[in-house]
Amino acid sequence: MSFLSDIKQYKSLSIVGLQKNTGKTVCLNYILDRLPSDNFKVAVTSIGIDGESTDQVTSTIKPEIFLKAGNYFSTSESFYHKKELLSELVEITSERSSLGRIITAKVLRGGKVLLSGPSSTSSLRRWLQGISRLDVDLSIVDGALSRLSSASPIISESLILTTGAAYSADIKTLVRGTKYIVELVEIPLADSIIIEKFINEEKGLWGIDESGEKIDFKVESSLNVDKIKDNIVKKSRVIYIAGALTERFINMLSDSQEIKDIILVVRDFTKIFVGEIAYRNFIKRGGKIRVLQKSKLIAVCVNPTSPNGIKLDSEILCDNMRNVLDVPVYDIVKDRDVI
Amino acid sequence: MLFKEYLNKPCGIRFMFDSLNLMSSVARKMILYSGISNNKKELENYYKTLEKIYNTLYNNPLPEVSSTLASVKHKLLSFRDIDGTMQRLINDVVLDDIDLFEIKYLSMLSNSLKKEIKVIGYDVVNIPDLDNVVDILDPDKLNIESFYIYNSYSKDLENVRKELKKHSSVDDLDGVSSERLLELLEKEKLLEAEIRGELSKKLKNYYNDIKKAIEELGKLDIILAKALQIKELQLSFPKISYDNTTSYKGMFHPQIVDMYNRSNADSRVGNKIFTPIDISFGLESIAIIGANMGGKTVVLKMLALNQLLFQFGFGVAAKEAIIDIKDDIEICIGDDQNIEQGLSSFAGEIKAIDRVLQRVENGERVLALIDEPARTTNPVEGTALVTALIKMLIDRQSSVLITTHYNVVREGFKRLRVNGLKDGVMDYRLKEALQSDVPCEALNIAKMLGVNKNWIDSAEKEIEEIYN
Repeated sequence: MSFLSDIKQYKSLSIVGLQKNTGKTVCLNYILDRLPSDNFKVAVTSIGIDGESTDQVTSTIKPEIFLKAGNYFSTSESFYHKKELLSELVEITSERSSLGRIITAKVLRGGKVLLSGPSSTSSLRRWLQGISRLDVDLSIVDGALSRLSSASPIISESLILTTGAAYSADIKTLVRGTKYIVELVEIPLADSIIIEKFINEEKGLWGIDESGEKIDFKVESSLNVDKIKDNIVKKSRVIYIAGALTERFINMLSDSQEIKDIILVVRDFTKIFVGEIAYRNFIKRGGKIRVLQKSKLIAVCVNPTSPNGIKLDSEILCDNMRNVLDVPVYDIVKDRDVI
Repeated sequence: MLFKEYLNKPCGIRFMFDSLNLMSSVARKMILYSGISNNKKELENYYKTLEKIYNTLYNNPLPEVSSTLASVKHKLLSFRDIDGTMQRLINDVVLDDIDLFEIKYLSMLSNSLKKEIKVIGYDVVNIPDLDNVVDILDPDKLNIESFYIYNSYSKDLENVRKELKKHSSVDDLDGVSSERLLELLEKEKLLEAEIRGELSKKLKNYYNDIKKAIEELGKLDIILAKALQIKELQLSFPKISYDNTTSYKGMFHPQIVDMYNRSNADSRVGNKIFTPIDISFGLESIAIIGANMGGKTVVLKMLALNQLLFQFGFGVAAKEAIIDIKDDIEICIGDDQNIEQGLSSFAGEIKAIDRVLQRVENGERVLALIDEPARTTNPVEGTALVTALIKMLIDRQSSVLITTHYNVVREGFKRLRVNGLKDGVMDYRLKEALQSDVPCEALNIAKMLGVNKNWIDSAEKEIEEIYN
């Protein structure tokens, strides 16, 4: 039972899939089903559109989110009408999603529901704060790992990664890709002084000069590398990029002469859209990467099947994963009764 | 005209609106869509209430008043706009759970605010009692805001749900057939829909009460915000004029004062102090003359702003103010160049003034504030245009104030001038100008600004030649 007791140690949990169809919803349902419902309040939401009965991308059938009596959930107005459970409407929040206002309700009789919650990091943060007023013991965020979602699940205390055949049908590639993402998840936090300086900057490119003052390089995001006119590594040994870290940007840093001991700071690992080779090159040349926020990785859950019919050998896959990862690895479907 | 139509007038009214600490979007909307008031009784009563509430809240308030105020404001934060729900209610649309929740939440909020504002004063707003609405939506008397179609609405529903509850676990159907389960779920849906229909019908009887409550809560939010603004910006309560004259003592512009305060907080720049202005006028036209940088345009802006603040029931920006009620305010300040119509700045301006002229000639009671008319044309024609304009507007039902650099020396109207430079310091106060008082301060100011000395010296010679 170490999996569930690990989860219960934290006030909030995000479940993040490396790819669509890596079993995120199965994993969420598993946890929701196994968590005690007496004297333990759980609230759940999603930062993508989730819990659709068919996946919007691949149109494969997806398991729906199943909630038990006593659970709280937040979803958009239009999904609230489609719920297949009995619930008591508790609060209409001031947050909006593309599907209307976000509503929080308490399940009275269990059933299925579609979830679609906050769509930006700040509104997710407000959701987490708001939900704590309901004396919730654990808030679960069904997270998305994609450029399309501006909400970062990494403001929750703990994290579960899901990976599987949908990511790659080749066990070696799958294990290697997962290992790389786990490495990104484990990137250490920046110094508290740096965190304090940058935590409220939601966009732009920043540095710190010799006297410790913040420098604004006046660049919207690392997507506009062309607009960088300064020799930023000469001006600052710490570079904070509030938005997405792109390959082009990190290559530009790797190519500069003064790269050694440069500290490149990103908000959290979900902002890193850099391939493994470019990342390793940057590290090899002496660069360091740090994050402003980080969640404790509880486990990696694998799903050996993929929507296009591939089924990998669960045992070999899990063994391979365990050999290279320092965190627990589970096949939720197969290990159902063991963990 | 509506408040929102004045919002972009270049006089600082937007600043006043933005600095109102409103808690709810309902109140914002109410102000934006409120019309200008020219009803003496209405304004008088409003200011009476506003002053009373201001005194209760900020003149040595009792401790329970301060704590109540904080609590009331906090509650108003969750006062939501439920316009959509209200429209569905009146149009006999069956309300869904979200609508019903909204009405229940609002009614409970309204009831609790009704109790709390007793501490501040009974007569501030008149919130109707919504106990009956709450009773409909809280059948179990739980006194909580959450809502669903409660079992107690129908025995049938209760029974269906009891049976459903037995089979509600994920996989285990307890031997019940899936057809039976579906049947039960459908029955539950049907019963719930029926109940929603009944609730909607019952609630419709209270539509007017709920609507009134929304309005009164909005008014409460507004009057509390106005009282706070009076305190924060040091505004005052205007008196209504009964003799057609308007007079201000210590008039100021809150936005400029705010700007000075901000820059004064930055110790690197010198201290800037706003000079309050005294001015009074009746139904007449007045020329304001005087130095560049003498604050003539600011005078017009302050007059426009205060007239608007007054006729929308805000505190006014002066130490003392007695204000005449006008039908409307015409503000011609800044470049009226109308790009869409392809008019030049001169044409745009002249057309705008022409419209004012028409309204004044029609006998409307307008406060018209015109900044440097015909400033872009040659001084001979410009002077003629301005002099003629002022003379045409004398003895009408309107008050017209015009700033100008032109030498409008004809008799028959009042001229005010900015005191101007004294020992290198600008004195922004106004005084009545003598007929021979030609405003010739541009050169002094240019000197003060330290521009090329030869230029200014030869300009002075030019003037001597003209006047000798």
